[in-house]
Amino acid sequence: MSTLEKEKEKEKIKIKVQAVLREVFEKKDLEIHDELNAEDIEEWDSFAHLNLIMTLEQKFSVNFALGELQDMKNIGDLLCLLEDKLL
Amino acid sequence: MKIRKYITSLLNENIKLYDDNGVLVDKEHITQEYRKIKNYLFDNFDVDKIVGLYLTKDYKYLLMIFACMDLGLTYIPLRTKWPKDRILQIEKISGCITLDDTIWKTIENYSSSDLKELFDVSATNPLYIMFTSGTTGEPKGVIIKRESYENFLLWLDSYFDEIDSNDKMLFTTDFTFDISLVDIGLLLVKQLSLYISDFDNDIFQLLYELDKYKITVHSTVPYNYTMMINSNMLQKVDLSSFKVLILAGSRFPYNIYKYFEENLSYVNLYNAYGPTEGTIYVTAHKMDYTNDEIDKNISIGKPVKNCKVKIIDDELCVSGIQIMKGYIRDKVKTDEVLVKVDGEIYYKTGDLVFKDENENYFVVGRKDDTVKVAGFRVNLLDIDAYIQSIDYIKDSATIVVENELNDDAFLVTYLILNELKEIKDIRENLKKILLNYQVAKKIIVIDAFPLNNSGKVDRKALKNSYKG
Repeated sequence: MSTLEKEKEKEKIKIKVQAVLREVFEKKDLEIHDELNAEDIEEWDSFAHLNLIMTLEQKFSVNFALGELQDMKNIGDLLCLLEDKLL
Repeated sequence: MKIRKYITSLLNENIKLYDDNGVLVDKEHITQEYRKIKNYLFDNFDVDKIVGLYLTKDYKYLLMIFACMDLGLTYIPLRTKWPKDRILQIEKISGCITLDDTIWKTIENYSSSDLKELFDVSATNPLYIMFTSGTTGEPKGVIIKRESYENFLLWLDSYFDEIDSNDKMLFTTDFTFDISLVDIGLLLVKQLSLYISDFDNDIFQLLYELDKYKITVHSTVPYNYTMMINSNMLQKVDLSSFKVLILAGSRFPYNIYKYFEENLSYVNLYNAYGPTEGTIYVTAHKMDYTNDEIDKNISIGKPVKNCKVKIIDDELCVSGIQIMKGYIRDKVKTDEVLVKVDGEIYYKTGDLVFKDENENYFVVGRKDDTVKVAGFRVNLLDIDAYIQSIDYIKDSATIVVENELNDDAFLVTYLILNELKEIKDIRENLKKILLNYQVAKKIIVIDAFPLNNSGKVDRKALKNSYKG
């Protein structure tokens, strides 16, 4: 995959993740960025987090390991993880 | 054996307490801390004074409880997350003197000499008072006697004979919920390692800790396992060392049994049952994975040692040494639930049960879950049990909403789904398995249920949030 193609794929993942977050938190206009984390969104409690992880696993057909979930501190970490798994 | 002996033996021999970072608390440090707490309590309290513990959950809270039990003082567990109003209400009812986290500074200056004196208390003295939120909102203080918990400890020791001092138990329950006394009890009788968790209803924390500490014993409410199983998260945890799971506090969901049967059949799985008024558990049941005739309604098993149960008008009534003394300063409510039958005092649990030919008990509902809707008597738990047998339904909670206009009531069923479904299709499916009047007027799909302090589905909150 060329660098350009890779960047395109990364962008696709980001858009898909954004769609998942918008759905889970019921926020139509939510814009994601790397530093975004649970403290920034009031509805992002542990139940919502569970729902988020489940939805991501389904939509991307991936399986997160417990250690990966524990290390995930913000959206940037999540995107890196998904890129590693998918690209 | 008496509580004092258990505590002395544990502190002298082998106390293995791990703090919420998973670090073993130094034994010498525990001894010093424990002695200071005891000296402080002995100087400032007397047997007729009740100690309210409004402290952060950690190993020192536990040492405070041990010190109260050992000295002979009655304690009331309180939670720092509770609103101040609730604490004031409990103080007013019980007359307790409340200690908050500022007390540790005072205790620090007390002597760490080994106090030899103890208060003179009898076996029927109150050990603790546990406040439950009554249906009317006014908290009720359940008084439990020393001999009741001592009986429970004896039973714990003999019933769970597969648990020993090599086991590692994850302590997730809050001190204000009486199943925390299962963790405390197993620490006392088995001297196992106790990992004090900072779980706080965060499922991920629970998953990490089960995995990280290679936990072997866990006691909690079914809801946490339902969440971990339904979200496919439990399969991420290394449970190869897991040995015993004890669930109590609400109806045991069949899917938990199924999951363990298929994936973790080496784990001893228990369904325990008991009202706070009966000292934690009054019956228990060990799952038998080889029995393929298991009913979707999982048995609560047989009575524990020195507990006698009787079914009166379908209601489970319990008598014996573990029955509470009463509700503190509430004779009216006490007399409502403690009744004399054939010369013995029975506690009316409010749970409707039946007994099978093997003397195993099964809960089929609650007296107060039976409500009248359009002239029909319906049982909400029965309805939910049927609904949950539909594959695409993960969980359900049915509530009654009163209609003030025509002095009637109607049902609202909240659902958590495994897959997207149209409400009208769900309704069609429900009509096939329920009677017409059992199918709710409103069906609402949500992502998660609100939980109360005990980790059970908070039906009251659902009801309050219902907007018609």
